[in-house]
Order: sequence, then structure tokens, then C-alpha cells
Amino acid sequence: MSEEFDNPYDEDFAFLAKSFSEQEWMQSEGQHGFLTIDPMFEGTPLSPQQVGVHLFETLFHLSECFQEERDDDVLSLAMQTLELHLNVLFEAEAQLVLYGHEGLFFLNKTPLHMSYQERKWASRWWRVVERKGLGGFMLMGPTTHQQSLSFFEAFLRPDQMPEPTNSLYPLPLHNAQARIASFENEQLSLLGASLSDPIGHAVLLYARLLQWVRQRYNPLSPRPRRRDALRILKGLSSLTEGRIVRFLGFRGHSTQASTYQPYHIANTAVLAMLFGSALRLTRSQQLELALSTLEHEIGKLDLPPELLQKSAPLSAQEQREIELLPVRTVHRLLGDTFRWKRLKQALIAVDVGSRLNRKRDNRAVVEQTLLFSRIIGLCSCFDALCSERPFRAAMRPTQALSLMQGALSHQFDSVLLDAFVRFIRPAVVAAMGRSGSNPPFPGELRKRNTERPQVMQQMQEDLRAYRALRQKASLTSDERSQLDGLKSGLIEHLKSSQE
Amino acid sequence: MLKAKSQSALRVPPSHRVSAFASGTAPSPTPPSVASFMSESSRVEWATHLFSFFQEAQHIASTQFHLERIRPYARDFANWLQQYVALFGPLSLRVRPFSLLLDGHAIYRDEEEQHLPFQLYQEGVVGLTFSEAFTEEDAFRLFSICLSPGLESELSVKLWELELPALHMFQTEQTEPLNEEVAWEQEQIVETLQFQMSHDSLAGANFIGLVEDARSTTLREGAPAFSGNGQEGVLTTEQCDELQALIAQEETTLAARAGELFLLVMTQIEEVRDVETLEVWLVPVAEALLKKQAWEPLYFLLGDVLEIGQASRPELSQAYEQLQRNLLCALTSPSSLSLIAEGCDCCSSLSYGEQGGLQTFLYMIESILGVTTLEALQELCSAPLPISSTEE
Repeated sequence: MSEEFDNPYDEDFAFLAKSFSEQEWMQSEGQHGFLTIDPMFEGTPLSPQQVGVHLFETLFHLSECFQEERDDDVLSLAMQTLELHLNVLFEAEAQLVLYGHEGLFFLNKTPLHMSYQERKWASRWWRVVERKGLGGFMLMGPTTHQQSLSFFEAFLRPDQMPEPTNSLYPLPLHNAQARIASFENEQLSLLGASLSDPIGHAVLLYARLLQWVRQRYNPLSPRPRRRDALRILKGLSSLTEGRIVRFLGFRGHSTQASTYQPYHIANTAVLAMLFGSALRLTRSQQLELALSTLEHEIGKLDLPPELLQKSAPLSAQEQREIELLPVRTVHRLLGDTFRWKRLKQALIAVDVGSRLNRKRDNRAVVEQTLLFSRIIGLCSCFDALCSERPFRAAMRPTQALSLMQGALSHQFDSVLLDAFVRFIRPAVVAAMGRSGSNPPFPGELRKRNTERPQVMQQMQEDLRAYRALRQKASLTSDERSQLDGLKSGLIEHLKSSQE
Repeated sequence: MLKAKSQSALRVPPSHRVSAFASGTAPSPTPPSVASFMSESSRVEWATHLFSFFQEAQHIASTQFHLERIRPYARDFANWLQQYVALFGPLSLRVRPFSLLLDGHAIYRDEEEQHLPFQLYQEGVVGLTFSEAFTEEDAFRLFSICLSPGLESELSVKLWELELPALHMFQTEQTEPLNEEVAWEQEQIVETLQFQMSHDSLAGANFIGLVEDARSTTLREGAPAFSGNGQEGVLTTEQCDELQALIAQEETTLAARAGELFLLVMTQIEEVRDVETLEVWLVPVAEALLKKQAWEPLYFLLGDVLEIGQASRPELSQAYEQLQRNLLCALTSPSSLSLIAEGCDCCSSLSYGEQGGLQTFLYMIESILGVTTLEALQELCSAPLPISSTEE
């Protein structure tokens, strides 16, 4: 099962090897990449996580240089880059431990986030290190060129063991494994901690769901992934499984459609899922029900926003727009490809919408017979009645239930309606004695500091000068002094910008 | 660290014998007195062997995916897991990007992006525990999900949906650092929600039940409680079963309902390009109806296309004509003709509506695609086609 990494120049690395041939490197002016130190990227300091990833890339290319037995400017400049990375990091972090095992890599306690490809090739070449019984290295102080050259040459060659220097120490593999295990245990205990505050956890999940809905129903936002919604819903379902969960929804602070609509959809989805759990639907069915709820009004993206706000009676044209809502929903859900799950969602969405149209129009519409559409219709109606709208005030839950069981009862499946009343009763009881109105919203709870660190013009100029000097094949003594001065100045700038 | 169970707890079922596996010689079952002193390395070896079945199945799934071909490996996995749990207790694994670890040792490795374990890793799953033995069927379901290509939702969600009592996943919420804007917005929303809950609004009642015992809630409020074990709930057991039967029945009629949905869409179409989009939707639905030999709904679907087209303005009418032709071409492919022939051969046993649907469908084929297709179809049938002659 373990894959032997014998040939570092397989096609995974061919691209990288080609990209960093000597000629291309010389031409890579201003490239933000592994052979040039760029403590600022578009005016923003790099995080330790980002520098850690660059450090890995630099180490890899050093290993290539040693494999090729290079002893030229490429090796020299790669070493200088590595030293600068290390010294910059050491200044920022006061200690530096880089380690990894089985595809996970860390800089101090920060896990390094990499793309799949990055992680794959890092894992492969890191096995050279692991096979020697090593898991990484530690930097305990500033390092010199000679120290780092001898240490890393031994560290990266498969047939040598690095000797500790004044500041650099090899990290045994078991030490790396223990650190990683400790990190994982910490993650698991954090997980436990969040589950020991289930209400806080539920609120967080609801917040993420609301964010997802806002993004989904915003025509200007990129479409969020359905997978993200499913993950959130799964979390909520896991949290509430087998328990009595009271939920009456959250409310927006205004009657603007852009505010109340996302809350309404999120509330309906959560209510539907909890109700589905009470009906003993399977987990898969609960997720399908909730996801269908989240997107059952997606056709509204194509409606004029002012139409949703209108409190006066609708004109014929406006009524027509509302009636076209199911068709728009079908187009949005099915799109240019066909999937059976999407078809079912479209059927559910049209079913739910047709309930509203039935009274107004005698044209042939889809009969509301799908079970999920009946459940969504119930939950949507309840939440809508309990919410304030531009054209009416919010009802108390007991009033809403009375209306649903009375004047509106013909719209619902009687068995499901009775079940819904039994399901929602604990929440309604808990809400008795509470005022029905939303608390006066205190405006922006906290102002965000939107001032970003100003681009340090001087630092940018110093950086350009530094790169220009480094690319020179040979330096005069003045130029060397200038280079050293620029280097220490850049480190100082970086340190102060991170404080 | 996992420890072997005590001697008295060790039971290796007599019916459970290690069979010779295709991948190699399996170790013999160890007598309980020795098993209680099993070393860590043996446990790792057993776990490695357990996942070798998964590895084999993965290889088969990658080359020629067919669910039934992986069943024997799922069976072996279930058998071996049963032995492992009997000897060593629950199997707790750590998830790494390209491996699964037991006590720091890699017992399974796969570097493919779409395979376990990278799928689980990137979804934030840090640990997996098999707390007890699986049945063969559960193992097969697990394998089917893990090895099926192109899952719509995350693997961890699909595994959770399986509701396997023996499988536990430990998943962190966030797998990548949040974008600053997104994190800020989330923080604001959480503060808003907590503000609502801290005041005397209805939202203050939200989620309270999460920290209360279900039993105490029942006693205090006197309302029927929902309990996870289903002893008491909002519906009776019979009603729940009826619901499930209704859901199952709805699945079988999905394609037929789709026809009604598309009629609604067609009545609102005003652009030619929308008719072209319809084809992408209608073809799979029509093919599904054909596969089920649901002749009446199929006839309705094709008939709707014809009627709406005839009632539309000229350029739309032309687009609908082309759509109908394309639909019929898709439905008379060589593999589909065999299905139609099957239907024709048992036409006499169909209901009146289904017979009418089939006959009209055949008539459409003749009038739009021509007699050649019908002749090809006749060759596949054992009896004359149940179609009225056009000359009549």
C-alpha cells in the first residue's frame, strides 16, 4: 500500500521543475513565489500559514538542487531565500518548528492549508525525510548561511543525517507524531466543548444557514455550494436528534423583503427538518426536505424586488409575475442540466406555490399531493403568520395555529396539521408570557475596522531594490552592504507591521 | 490506547472461520488465552488486512464500477471487522489526507483526490470509529457509498445518512480559514441572534430544549413528547409507516408527475431557446417512462409537446416540432426498441389507458419517423404491432 517515491521527476513535479529552471527564475520579476521573499503581497503581510507553505516549496527546490548536485547561483539564491524565510519567521514567532507526517504539515501549531496537488507532492518528497526517522526541524535562533547550508543539505539528502547546529535541530519522527496527535486531540476536545454548549452550537449553525440563504437569494452573489448547506443541516439534525427542540424562528429587524425573506426561508427549513424528524423521516429524507425548503422560493430571484415589498393590492401585471413564480423556480432549479433530485425539488416547489394560487386562479395547476410540499406548506405558513410583513403585523404563535386550524385548514393535510400542532406545542408553550415583539434593534452592534494597513511605500521600494540586487550574478562590496542593509530593514518593517 | 478485551469477554463465534482470501493467506483465529495478550503490532496487522478488502474493492470500482462486484469484499470486510472487534474492541482510526492511522500506523493509504481518505479529510473528519461489527448488508451499503463515483453531497453527509449505528465520525466544523468578510458577517449574525434570544422575544425560546432532559420536559409541560425511540410521538407507528409508504410511492410516480410540471412550463414559454432547454429535461424523463413501460404518461408527455406546439406562433411551433422529433429519436434507439417490443408483446395484458397510450405512441413513431422504424420494431416483436393502420 505505501507508494515508493523513487523518481522525483515524475509528471507531478515536471511542471515545477520546468517552472523553476534557471532561465525562468531569472525572468520571474515580481513573482510572488517560492524563490523570492515577498513579506508583503498586495500590501498585506503574509500569514505564518502562507509563509509556511512557501517554506515547503523552497525546501523542495533545495532538495532538487542537492539531487542535481548544483553548486551555482540557483542553489545559492534558493538558500538565501530559505534563510530569509527562516529569519523572518523566527523574528515573528520567536521559535520555529516545521514538521509533518502522513500528509499533514505544521508550522509551530498552525496546520498548513494546501491544495490537493500541493499536499500530494509535499507528502511524496517529505517521505525522504521520514524514512530517516525524522519528522521536521526546529529553529531556536537566527541562522547563518553556512550553518543552514550544511544542515539542510544533510536534512534533505536521503543518505545523510543532519547534525544539530547552534540554532537548527532535527526533529525526530516520534516527536512530530506526538505534536500532531496533540493537535488532533485538541481539535477533538474543542469539538466536545462546542457540543457541550448545544444552544450556542445551534445558534452558530443557524447563523451559517442564514448566511447561505442570503447568498443564495442574492442575484449579485456567486451561488453557494449545496454541499455547504447540507453540512450545516446535517449538523443541526445531529444536534437535535432524539430531543425535544423548541424552535419558533428568528426575525429580521425590518419588514424589508431583503431582510425578512432569508430569515423566513431559514426558519422554514429548520422547522421542516425538525418536524420531519418528529415524523420519523430518515436522515436522508430530512436533509432532502430541508434542502427543498431552502430553494423552494428561488424563482423570486427573477421577481422585481419592489413587488415583494408592495403592501397595496397587486395589479394584473404584478399578479401575473407572481403566477409565473413556479415556472421561474423550475428554470432556476433545473438549469441547463437534468438531475432527478432537482426535478423532485422543482415538483415540490411548484406544489408549494400552487397552494397559494389555487384560490385565485382556476387554471390547471399541479395538484398539491407531494408529502414534502405539504410539510413545507405547513411550516412556511406558520412562520409567515408569526412574522411581520409590510402589509400586516406578526401574529402570536397561538393565533397563527388557531387560524391554520380554522379558516385556513382546507389548505392543509388534516393528519399533518394535527401532527404539526402537537410538534410545535412545546415551543408555543415555552413562548407564552414572552412578548411577541422583537427587541428594539440597537443598530450596528459593533463597528468593523475597515482600515487596512497602509501599503508601506518605502518598504515596497526597498523590496524592489532588494530583488534587483539579488538577481545580479556578482555583487560589489558596496552592493553587498546595501543588500544586507535592505534585508535587515525589510525584517524590521515586517516585524513592526505584524505587531 | 486500545487494549484487548478481557479473556472472559472474548468470543470468537464458532461459525466464524477465517476463509482463504483472494489477496493472500489469512491468519488463523487465535485462541482467547493468547488473544488477550495481543500486541499492538498484531492489531495493526489485523486492521491493515481489514482494509485490504476495501482497497481491493476500490481498485475494482475504479476500473469497472458495478455494485455487485464489490459485494464479496464487503462481506469479507464485515467478517473481518467482527473478528477484530471481538478480539480488540472498537476500531478507532485517525483520518489523514492520504491515509487512515491506527495508533500512529498507516493501515490504509490512497492518494486519489476522489477517494477515501482525502474526501473525509477535506470535509473535516478527523476520526472514524467502528464500535461494533457490521452486518454484511451494512458493509455493502458503506462500500457502495464510499466507492460510488460522483456523489452530489459530501461523503461524510452520505455516510451519516446511512444511519449505521456502528460507525461514528468525528468532524470539525471548519476545514479552511474563513474569508475575513464571511467571518465578520457570521460574527454579526451570531451576535444578532444571541441578542434576540437574550430578550423577552419569542426567539428566546429557541433551542431551549437542547439542554433539558426530554423526560423532565414531558412531566413539566404535560405535552406529548417526541422521543427518539419512537415510543410516543406526533404520529402513531402506523401513521409513520403510511408516510414512508407514501414517500416510496411518490418516488415511483416522479416521472409521470414531471409531465404535468413540464406542461405548466410549456404554457409559459415565449422564447425558442426555452424550447431547446426543454429537450435537456424531457429526454431523461421520457426515457425513464419508457423504461418503466408507463405508456400512458409517456403518451401524455409527447402529446403535450405536440399540442402546445400546434397552438404556438410559427417559430415556436417549428421548435416544438423539432423537439418532438428529437424526443422520438431518443426513444427509438436500438436499446429502447427492445423495451418497446417487450411492451408490444404484452399489450393485451395492459390496462385500457396503457394500451391506448402505447398505440398512440406507435402511431407517433410512424407519422413522425416513418415506417422504417416501425419495421425495425416489428422484427423484434413476436406478434404484430398493436397499431391501427393509417389507411384505416
